[in-house]
Amino acid sequence: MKLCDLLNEKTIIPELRSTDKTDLINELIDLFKNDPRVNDLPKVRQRVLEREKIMSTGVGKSFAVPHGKTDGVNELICAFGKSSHPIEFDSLDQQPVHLVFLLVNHDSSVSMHIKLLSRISRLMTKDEFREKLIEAKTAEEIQQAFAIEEKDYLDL
Amino acid sequence: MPTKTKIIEPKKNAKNVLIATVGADKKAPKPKKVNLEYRVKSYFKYDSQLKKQFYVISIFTVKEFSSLNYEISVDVKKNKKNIDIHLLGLNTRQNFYMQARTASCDLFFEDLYGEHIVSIIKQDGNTNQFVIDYNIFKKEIKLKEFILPKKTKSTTFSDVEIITNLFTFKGE
Repeated sequence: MKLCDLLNEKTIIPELRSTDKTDLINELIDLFKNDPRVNDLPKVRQRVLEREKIMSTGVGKSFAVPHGKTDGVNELICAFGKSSHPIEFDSLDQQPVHLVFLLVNHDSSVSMHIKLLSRISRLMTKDEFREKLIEAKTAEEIQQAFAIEEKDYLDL
Repeated sequence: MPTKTKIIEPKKNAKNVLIATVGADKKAPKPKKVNLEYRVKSYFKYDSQLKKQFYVISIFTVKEFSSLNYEISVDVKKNKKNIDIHLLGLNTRQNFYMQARTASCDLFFEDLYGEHIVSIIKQDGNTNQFVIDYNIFKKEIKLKEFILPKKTKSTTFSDVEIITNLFTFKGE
């Protein structure tokens, strides 16, 4: 399993409409309305927002990775969003975000959850990759950028 | 460190020439204590069910765990002759048969030929690199070099062993 396999045109937003943190997270979670992998969308929303209260997942370099584990999903879901306008996210470096990766896994999936977070973090720390994502205009281009960046990685 | 001999010029009318050995009173630096945490093992393995020849890199913790069985969680990147193995941590493994054992993980590669730089990378960036030469035709795996990358101020935390008695090949 690779991140690029988990993303598709339905789960990538090339230009987010939201202007604040909570709306942004909700905009990404709303992509999974009527998704059979989700059995309780409000629970997913609650878990991700609760996690943000503990500590912001705005890890710096204009990137955030809101995430959580809950039995509100039957299996892993993830989404990616990009914004040309800065969104305040209480990030560790006090800078607004432009790139957001949402990851929600089932409660029992501890190991995979950590592996995925680690992979996301590893990719997103590369300046060149972030620039490619910022330059990408369509969901297809974003998905392709992930595929290229991950081609040398083994499946998780 | 070699000691240097320094001759101190005598004062006028001095009867003896003083000879002092600079550094002789200093103890030779102790060799740095190596704290091995991981053992890397490599071997050829033929899978008769998949009918594929694999090149295996296994990583074990030196420490043994008795209460739970653990596996080492890794993220692996292979780019041409470079194999980067990022150590993420330990995860519990489903197993009803409990016994004291090390944590481990096995990585199966399908096409390794020639020298490869295998980097074992801890979360803090500490990196150990091994240059390993794979030659399936000679049925040989050789450890060529151990490297501590300078830029990461790395220390030795792992070693490599080639396990020839685990080698299996097609038709054997």
